[in-house]
Amino acid sequence: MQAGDEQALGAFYDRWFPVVSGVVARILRSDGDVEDVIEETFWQAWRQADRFVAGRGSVQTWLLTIARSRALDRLRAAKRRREESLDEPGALESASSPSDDTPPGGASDPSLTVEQAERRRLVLAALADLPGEQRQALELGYFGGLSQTEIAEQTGQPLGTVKTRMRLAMQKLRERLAVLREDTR
Amino acid sequence: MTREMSHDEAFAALGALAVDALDADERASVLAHVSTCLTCRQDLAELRDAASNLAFSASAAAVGADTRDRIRGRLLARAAADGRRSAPSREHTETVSVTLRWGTAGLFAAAAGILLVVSLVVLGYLLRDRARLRDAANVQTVQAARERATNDSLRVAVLSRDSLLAGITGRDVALMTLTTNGTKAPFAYMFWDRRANTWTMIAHNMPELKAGRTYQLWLVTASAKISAGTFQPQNGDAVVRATYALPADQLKALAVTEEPAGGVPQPTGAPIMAVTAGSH
Repeated sequence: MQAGDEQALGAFYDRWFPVVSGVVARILRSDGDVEDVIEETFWQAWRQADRFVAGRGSVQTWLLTIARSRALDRLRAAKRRREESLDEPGALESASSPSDDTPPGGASDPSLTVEQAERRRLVLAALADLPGEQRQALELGYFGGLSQTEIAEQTGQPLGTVKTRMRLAMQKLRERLAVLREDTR
Repeated sequence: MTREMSHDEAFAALGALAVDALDADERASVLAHVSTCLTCRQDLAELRDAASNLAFSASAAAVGADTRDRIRGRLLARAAADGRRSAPSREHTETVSVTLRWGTAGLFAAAAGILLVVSLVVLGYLLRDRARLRDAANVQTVQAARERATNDSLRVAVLSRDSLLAGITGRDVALMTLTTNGTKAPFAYMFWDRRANTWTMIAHNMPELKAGRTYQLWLVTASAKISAGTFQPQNGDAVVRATYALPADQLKALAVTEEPAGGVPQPTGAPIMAVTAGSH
C-alpha cells in the first residue's frame, strides 16, 4: 500500500474492515456517521501509508488509532451540536455510555478471519476477567472517549479511584494479552 | 507550561494515556516525561498495543455487507482518482515582461533597470540550481527509502529465522509428532515452547490442496478446539507458527484438518493427521 497500489488497498480493506467497522459502530450510533468514518479511516491510512514505520508500532495499533480518533472526533462534534441546541438533554449521557452496548457473548463472528476471531475471543475473555468497575472505566475511556475527570463525573466516583481503576485495568489487559503482542506486528 | 512529573507519577498515568483518557495538561506533562524516558516509552508502546486490542471486543457484525461493499467501491474509486491526480505534472514557467520607459527619472531609472535585470539573471540561476538540488534530493530520498525497505526486509527475515530456531530448540520445548497411516503419508513435528507459548509445526508430504481449500491446525483441549492458524504447503512442506498460552496439562491433542480457504471457527472435516498429548 505504501507504493500506492490500489489492489493492496482493497486487500487491506478486506482484512481490516470487520474490526474497524466494529469499533467505529461501537463509538458512534448514527449509520451515516459510521459509514463516513469508516471510509475516512481507510482513506487516511491510504494517504498516510508512507508515514507508517513498522519498527515504531504495529499496523493494527496504527490503523485502529486512526479509526478510534476519527470516530471520537465525530462523536464529540455531534455532542457539541447537541449541547448548543439543547434540544435533547438526555442525549449527552446516552452518547457517552458505551457500556450499555455490551458486546455479544459469543466470540465467533463469520466476518472475521480465524486469527481475528481468536484475538476477539482472548480480548473478550480478558475483559470478562476484569472487575466490573475497572471494565467500565476502560470502556468509557476507549469507546466513550471520556477523560478520567469526565469518567469520575459521570460515575460519581472520586478521580483518584477512577485513576486507580484505569491503571489496574490496563495492567491486567496488557498481561492477559501479552500472547498477542508478537502477532500484532 | 507543563508541570514536570516524576517518573512514578508519569508511569502510573501511562495506562490512561494509552486510551487517551488524560486531561490536556496532564497529557502534556506525561508526554514530556515519556520523551526523555526509555522505560516509559517502551511501556507506553506495549499499553497502546494492548489498548488497540479493545477494538476486537466490538461486534464486527454491526455494519452490513451492503455498506461494506459500498464503502469499498467508493474508496477504490477515490484511490484510482488520487493516483491519477498525483502523477507527475510538467512544471510551467511564467514569463514576466518588463518594459522600461525613459523619462524624467533619467539615470535613477536606468540604474534601477540594470539592477532589476541583474537580479532577474541571478534569480534565474538560483531557481535553476534550486530545481537541480531538489531533483537530486528527491532521487536520494527514493533511494534511501528503497534501501531502508530492503534493510527492513532483511532484518525481518533474520528475526524470523532466529525466532524459528528459538521456537524449536528452547529449553522448555516439547516435541510431538503428528502422523497418519498410508504410504508417503503426511507427517509433522510440533515444537511447543511452553515458556514462550510458541507453537512451531514443520510438516512434510502434505497432499496438494484444491483451489479454495486450506489446511488448518487445531489445539484440542477438553472443552475447545482452538485454531492455531491456516497454511498452504509448498511442494508438500510447510512451517506453521503460532503464539498461544495454554497450560501444559490442558492440551489433549493436536490435529490438522482440510477446510475452506480462510479457515473456519470450528473444524468441519476429519483430521488429516493428529497426535494425542501425552503419547510422546
